[in-house]
Amino acid sequence: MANTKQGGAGNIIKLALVLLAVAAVIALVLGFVNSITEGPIKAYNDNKTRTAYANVLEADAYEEVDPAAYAAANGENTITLLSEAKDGSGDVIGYVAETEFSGAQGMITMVIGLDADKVCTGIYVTEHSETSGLGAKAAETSAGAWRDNLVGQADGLALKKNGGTVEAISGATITSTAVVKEVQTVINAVNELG
Amino acid sequence: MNIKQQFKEGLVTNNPVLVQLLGMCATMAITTSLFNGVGMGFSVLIILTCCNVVISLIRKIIPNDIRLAIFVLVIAGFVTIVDLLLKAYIPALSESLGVFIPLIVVNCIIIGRAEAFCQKNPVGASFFDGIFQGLGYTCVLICMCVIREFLGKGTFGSGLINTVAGVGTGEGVRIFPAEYGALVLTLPIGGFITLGCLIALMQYVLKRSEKKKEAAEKEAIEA
Amino acid sequence: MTPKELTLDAGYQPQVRAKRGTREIMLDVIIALLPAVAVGVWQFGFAALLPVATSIAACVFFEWLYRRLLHKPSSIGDLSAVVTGLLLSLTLPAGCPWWLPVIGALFAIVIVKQLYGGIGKNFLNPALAGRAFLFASYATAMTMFTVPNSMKGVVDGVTMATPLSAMKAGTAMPEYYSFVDMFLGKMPGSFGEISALALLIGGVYLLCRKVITWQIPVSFICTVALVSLIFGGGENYTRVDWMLYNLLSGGLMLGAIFMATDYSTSPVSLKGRVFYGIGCGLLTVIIRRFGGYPEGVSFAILIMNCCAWFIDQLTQPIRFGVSREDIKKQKAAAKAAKKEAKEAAANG
Repeated sequence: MANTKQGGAGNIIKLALVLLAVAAVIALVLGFVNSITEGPIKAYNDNKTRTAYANVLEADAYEEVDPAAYAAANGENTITLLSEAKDGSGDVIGYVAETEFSGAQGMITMVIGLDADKVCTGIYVTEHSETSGLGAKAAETSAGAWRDNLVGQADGLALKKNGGTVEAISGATITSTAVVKEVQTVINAVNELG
Repeated sequence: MNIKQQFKEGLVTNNPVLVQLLGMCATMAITTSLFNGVGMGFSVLIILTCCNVVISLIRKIIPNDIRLAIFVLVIAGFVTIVDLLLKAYIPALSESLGVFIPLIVVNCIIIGRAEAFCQKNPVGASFFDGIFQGLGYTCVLICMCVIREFLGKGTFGSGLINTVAGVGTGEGVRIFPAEYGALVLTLPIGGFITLGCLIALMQYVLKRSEKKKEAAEKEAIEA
Repeated sequence: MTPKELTLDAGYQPQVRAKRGTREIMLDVIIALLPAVAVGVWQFGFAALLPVATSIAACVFFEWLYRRLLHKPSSIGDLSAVVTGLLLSLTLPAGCPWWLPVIGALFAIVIVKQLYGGIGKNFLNPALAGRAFLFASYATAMTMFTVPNSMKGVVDGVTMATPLSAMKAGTAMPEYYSFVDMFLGKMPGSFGEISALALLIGGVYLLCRKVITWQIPVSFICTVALVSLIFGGGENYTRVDWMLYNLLSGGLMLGAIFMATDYSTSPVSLKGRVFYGIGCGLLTVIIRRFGGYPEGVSFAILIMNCCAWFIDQLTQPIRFGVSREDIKKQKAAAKAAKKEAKEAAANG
C-alpha cells in the first residue's frame, strides 16, 4: 500500500486513534449488553447446578464440606466439591459430590449422590465428550438408562467382570470403570469424614 | 444491484457454502439436529446483517491500512453480543452449539462479505446482501441437518418438534427405528460426506442450467 | 477406447495390448472367490447366501442407476460391480441382515467409486470403504458373529466371540480353536474370511491366471508374520502361537489376496508393491496389537490406499532406453548450468 510508506509517525497515530475509537464504542455497547444479560445467565447456571443436585438427591439445603476433611480420599483431586445434603430440620440426609475425572475420550463432569448410609442414590453427567452409543450411555437420563445400575450400590463398588455387582456398558468398559471408580472415591471421601 | 438478483445470488448462484465454499467448518460440525442448524443459521444471519450494515456505514471513514482490524473488531463485538444474549435467553442453544458460537468471529462468510461487498456498496444493498447470504447459509444448514438426522438417527426435527422439556430437548418425530440409522452420518465423517455430496449436486445443477442457457442463446443467434 | 476393452494391467511403457479385458479379469476373480463362498455355505448354511445375493444385486443396480441418471455409458458389463458386491458381502458377519450390504453397496458404488469417476479412478477400495462405513454405522450388527455349523455342539448360544476378540482382550485363546480347524475354516467370523485354505486356493488360481502378482500378498503376509513374531501377544501367548493366530484369523488372507491387490488402489511398480504390502502388514499388526479395534486389516489397507500414489511417485522406474549413468550426468549438467546462470546474474 503506497500510503503507509508516506506520512510516517503522524499517520500511525491517526490509525491508532481510529482503532481506539472503534474499540471504545464496541466496548461500551458490550458493557451495556453484559449488564442486561448478567442476571439471567447467573440464574440459569445456579439453576443448572441445583437441578443436577436435585436429580441425584433431593434436599432442602446443601452445605459445603471443607476439602481438607476428605483430602486423603481425594488424592487425584477428582472431587471438586462435596456437600452435605440437609433436610428442613438440619439433619444430614446424604451427600452430593461434584466430580471431574477422565473418561474414555476426555473429561467427564458428574454429580454423584449418596444417602446417609453411603449408598449411591444416583449420578448425573453434566459434561462429557464420550462416543454416542457407547460411553455416552452413561449420560442418558431416561427411565431404565444405564445409570440406574448404580442406584443402591454401596461401598466396594466394582464392575461385574471384576467381581462386583455393576453391569458395564457393553462396548464402553473404560467409561464404566471410570464412573464406578469415581463413585467409590466419593464413598471413600464420605467415610473419611467420619 | 437489484434485490431480486441479490436474492437469487445469496440462495443459489453465489451460495456462501455451496458455491463460495465459505463457512464449511461450522456447517459440518454442528448440523446434527435441526435445532442446532436453525439456531446457528439465524445467529449467523443476524450477525452478518448487523456487521454488513455497520461496516457499510463506516466504509468511507475507515483508513485502508487498518480495515481488516476494524472488521474483526466489529464482527467480534456483534458475536459477543449474540453469545451473551443466547446464554441468557436460549441457554439450550448456547450449550448445544458450544464453542462454535464464538467461532463465528472467524467464519469466512462474514469477513468475506465485508471485504468483497460491504466496503464498496451502500447500506441498503449491504443490508439485503447480509439477509440473503444469511438465508442461503441457513438453508444449507437446514438441508444438512435434515439429511444427517434422517439417515443417521431416523428422526426429523429433533430439538424443535416434540420437545420434552423446553426447546432444545427431545428427539423430534421418529420416522424409523434408531438401529437402522447409519450412525456414521451423525459423526464428523458424515458431515464431510454430506457436504461433499451437496456441493457436487449444486455444481451439477448450476452447470446444467448454464448449458441450457448457452444452448438457448445459440438457438436465438441462429434463429 | 470403450470401457469393455479397457485393460487394467497398466505397468510402465513400453506396453503391449493384451487380448483380455476387464470382464475376463473380473470373471477370474469371481471364480477365485468361489471356494471361500463354498466354505461359507458349509459353515453357515444356504441362508447365509442371502446377504451375498442382495449385495451383488444392490451393487449392480446402483451402478446401473447412477450411470443411467447421469447419461453415461453403462458399465455393469465389466462385472466390476459384481466383484465389489461379492467382496463386500464376504467381509460382513455371516448372519447379518439382508439390508446391511445394500446400504454398504450404496456407499461403496455411488460415493467411493462412481462419484470419483468410475472404475480405475477410485482412490479407495470400494468394498473395504463400504465395510468401514458399515462398521462405523452399525457397530452391533457388524460384531454379531453367528456360531458356525462345525462348532454348534461346542458352544451354546447363537453368537460367539471370534479368535480376534480373545486376542484383543489379551485372554488366552479358548481350547476349541485349533490351528488346523482355523486353517480349514471351522471358526466364526465374516462370511468369506474364515477359511485360509479356500482363500489360498483362490490366490494360487489368480497367480496362475496372472491376474495378480505375488509381491503384495507375499509381502503383506510375511510382514504380518514377522512383526507379530517380534511384538508377541502378551503374557498369554507364545510368540509362535501369536504369529499363527494372526495369520489364520480375521480377514488377513482375504485382504492380502483380494483387496490389497485391487489395480486402481495399489502401486503400479513392482518395487512399490512390496513397500505397499509391507506397510499394510505393519499397520495390521499394530492396529490389532496396540490399537482400539480387534481387526486391523481393513483400516490398514484403506490407509495404504491413500499412500499408493505417493509410493508410485517414489518408485518410478527409469525411462526405457536410459541408463542410470545417463541420468546422473544429466542431473550434474543441470546443476552446473544453474550455478553458471546464478554467477552470471550476480556479475552482470
